[in-house]
Amino acid sequence: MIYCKRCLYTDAHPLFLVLDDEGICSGCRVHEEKNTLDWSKRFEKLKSIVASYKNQSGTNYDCIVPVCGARDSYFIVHMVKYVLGLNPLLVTYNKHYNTAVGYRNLSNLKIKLDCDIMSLTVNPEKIKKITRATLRRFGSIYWHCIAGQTVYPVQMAVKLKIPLIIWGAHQGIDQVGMYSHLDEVEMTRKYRKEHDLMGYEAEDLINEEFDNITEDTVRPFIYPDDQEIENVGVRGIYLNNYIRWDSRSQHEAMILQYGYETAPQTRTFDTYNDVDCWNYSDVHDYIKLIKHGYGKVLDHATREIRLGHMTKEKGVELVNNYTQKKPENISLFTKWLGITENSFFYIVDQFRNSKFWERDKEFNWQLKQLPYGKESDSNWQVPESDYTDFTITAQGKSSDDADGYILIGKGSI
Amino acid sequence: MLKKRIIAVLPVYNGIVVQSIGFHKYLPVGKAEIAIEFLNAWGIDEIVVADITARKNQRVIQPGFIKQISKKCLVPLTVGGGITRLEDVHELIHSGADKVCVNNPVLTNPGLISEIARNYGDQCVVASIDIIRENNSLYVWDYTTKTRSTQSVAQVLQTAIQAGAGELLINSVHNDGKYTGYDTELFTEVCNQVTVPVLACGGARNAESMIQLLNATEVSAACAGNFFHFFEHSVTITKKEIAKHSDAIRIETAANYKQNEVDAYGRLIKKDDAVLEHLLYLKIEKEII
Amino acid sequence: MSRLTICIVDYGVGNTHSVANALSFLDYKVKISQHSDIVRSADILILPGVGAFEVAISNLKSSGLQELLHELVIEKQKPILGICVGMQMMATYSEENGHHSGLNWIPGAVVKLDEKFGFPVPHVGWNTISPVIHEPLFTTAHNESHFYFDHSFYFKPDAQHHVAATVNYGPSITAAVQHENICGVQFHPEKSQTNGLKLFRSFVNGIQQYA
Repeated sequence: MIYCKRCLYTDAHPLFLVLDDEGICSGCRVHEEKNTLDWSKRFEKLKSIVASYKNQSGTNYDCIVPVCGARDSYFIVHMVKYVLGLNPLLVTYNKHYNTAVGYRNLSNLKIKLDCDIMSLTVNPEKIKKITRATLRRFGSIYWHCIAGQTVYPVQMAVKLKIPLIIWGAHQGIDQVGMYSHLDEVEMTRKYRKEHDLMGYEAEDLINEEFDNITEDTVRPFIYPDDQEIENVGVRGIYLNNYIRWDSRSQHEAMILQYGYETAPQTRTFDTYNDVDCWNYSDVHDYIKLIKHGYGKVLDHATREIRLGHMTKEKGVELVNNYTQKKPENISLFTKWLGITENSFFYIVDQFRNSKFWERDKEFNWQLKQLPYGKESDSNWQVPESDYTDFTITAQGKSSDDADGYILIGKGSI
Repeated sequence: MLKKRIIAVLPVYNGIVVQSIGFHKYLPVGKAEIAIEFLNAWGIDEIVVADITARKNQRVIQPGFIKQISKKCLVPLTVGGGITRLEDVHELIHSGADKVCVNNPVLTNPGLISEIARNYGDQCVVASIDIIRENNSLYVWDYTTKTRSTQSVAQVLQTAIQAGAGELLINSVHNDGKYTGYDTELFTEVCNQVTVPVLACGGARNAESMIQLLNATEVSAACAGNFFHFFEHSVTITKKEIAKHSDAIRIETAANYKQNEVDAYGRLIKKDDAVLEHLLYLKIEKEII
Repeated sequence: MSRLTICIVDYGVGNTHSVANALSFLDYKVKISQHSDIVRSADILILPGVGAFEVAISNLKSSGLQELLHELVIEKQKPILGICVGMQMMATYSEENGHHSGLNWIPGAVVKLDEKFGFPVPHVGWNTISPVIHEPLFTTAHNESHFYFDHSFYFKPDAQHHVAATVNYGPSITAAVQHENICGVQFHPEKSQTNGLKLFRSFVNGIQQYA
């Protein structure tokens, strides 16, 4: 493995990474643009694009904004509605693994930011069938979440004839510098298939003999036809191409302004980004560690290092600390899915990547090498301010049961 | 009528398709087979896959790799990267490649081109030549040494033709990844000196770049590497835009964007509200009593 | 779904894998082979071609396939589709790099594209064809259908009624030929996206009446 000198990534990154002659990765290089681009000019460009999408006849929304109970949703809606002055239709895909905090945040979002929202909840039996298949076939419990989150806004755009979809950050740019911010990359089915869905679209899951998955099972996840997209002229843009993206600062502003709620996460220090899910920083992250040799905490630390909020040493310390944390919600997940814990570990182990793992003398699995490099980049300025912990807000109260998955919640109002 | 071709170039770096910027900066895009699947769906005319780390790693682009990525490629696939022997070509043609592309051999071993042409036909061999403009003069660029070649542009062009190359893929090095548009004078120069098809690459930003290139020169194809990855149905939308200025463009996808307009950056413009409304519901006139 | 077996004859000079990819896309059972049992037992044969005539015909002879194909195609009337050089080999002779005899299944000569018309040689790229005989190749194609061409020589059948389609490249030249169970196309259907797939489908569905 080749390590980046500046951040914590290696060339084994699942989205692929290119390291240059100075040992700096493509993600860090593109990130440099955050400090060199004229962001006010970028914002003007954004304004001109969205202005052209405003509905003039008063009969439809201006755009679609995909949201959930976490993940910069508040910031995105705030920007779209109050700064860009658009009239958005929010859409949300029910990921089933919902926490009480997540549901309170989602309710709050609708109410405090005063928006209409369309929601898709696929029936739990279908979801479980699909998740059993995705877990078995390629070791993923999250396929249905990502498939739903990325297809539902497009289906709504096509059905309701609202062409513009506004997303937050493009993960490829954010993590590995897949594109420059100036490329103004937009949403494509191509990116979704390859990087979001690991190469499997809905139709690829159909398997009647083994998984009992028919076309009807996956129908909610089927991507609209090219001609439907052409007909409406669907376009999905990313705000991080036009706004200097800093997830932590953005969330903290939303905590202050709208009372966005946060909560401790099992396997990371970032208490903001994924509070709406029982599994993202837990079961799902455990699987990530098995398959890719590192956990989300490394993504978060890399992000903070690049933004100058954290030194590499602090990042390493946090990664060391959180990577070892045992997931706490496996039994909740296996009970929901209808499999035993033993079979869960057995299946996941089939995907343990021998590039990163080996058995030690006691026949236990050990990481072969550190998932990050120890060298540092001599050209990189170390930030002056000390790192401070992410906030944990006071816990809100909801009328729903807090100890299990919440399918449809009322939130606090 | 023979059409002008819109060709996608996929530089492959350690097995991954990348964006190439100035021949030295690379941004990872993803797997070649996905890029090929979607470029196909979007109506691309031809695809070139060039393994740019092959020669550095002293090996040739792998036939196994081509077999894997070519499954959904229903347009001509030209492959290149470290080809030095006729055997390499044999394996590649039997793994899904339709043509092969050679770069370094043009400068160091043109006899290889003749050998390939003799066995597979000249239409199977594409000679790739990198040209750089410095101080307003054109020079051939040798990417293995990262310096200007001692051979002149005219010499190298003639060598390639005499050796039997069926087409020339000309890369303008100084424009690579710059998005400033094609160096049309460079391509006019080349077209003036040869009669075989010239495929122009380097500097494409969007449909407008290609329109300018096809208007100003006699090239047979406009190639682009980076911007086809930037937005949905990029090839279809770009072709439809070019077709407004030329009837030498093939448009055969079901989604053809004939009813859509694009802005100055080559991206979609919203359709009129009235048009969208008309799609949304049938307007029923209420009877007024 | 049709379970016909299609055999792509492998005589060492053809983009066999490309053709196989396209036919697999259409869900046909495809084999790439030069073994006589497999060639013999196939329902339909494809003779691909990327290459120079001389090497192609010499490979066909030395592999023993020439006799086998004569028996299957001429005597037993097995359906066959020749592509590019594969089609050219069906002629009486070719002028490419000398004078070389072909299989003489469809009398005629393979001659060089004439540069005097000002059209560059080779003829490379997408061009529209004019179908003359619609069955079995062109049931879904029309005058605006593009196919991918890549050749410097073309087939001139002695008999006009063997010409199944033409393409405009200076003068009008042969794009496809047909004689009973034998079809040939100058362009590459395996590289002509949807039109190519449609042609394969049309050919497989329509050719069996001649067998």
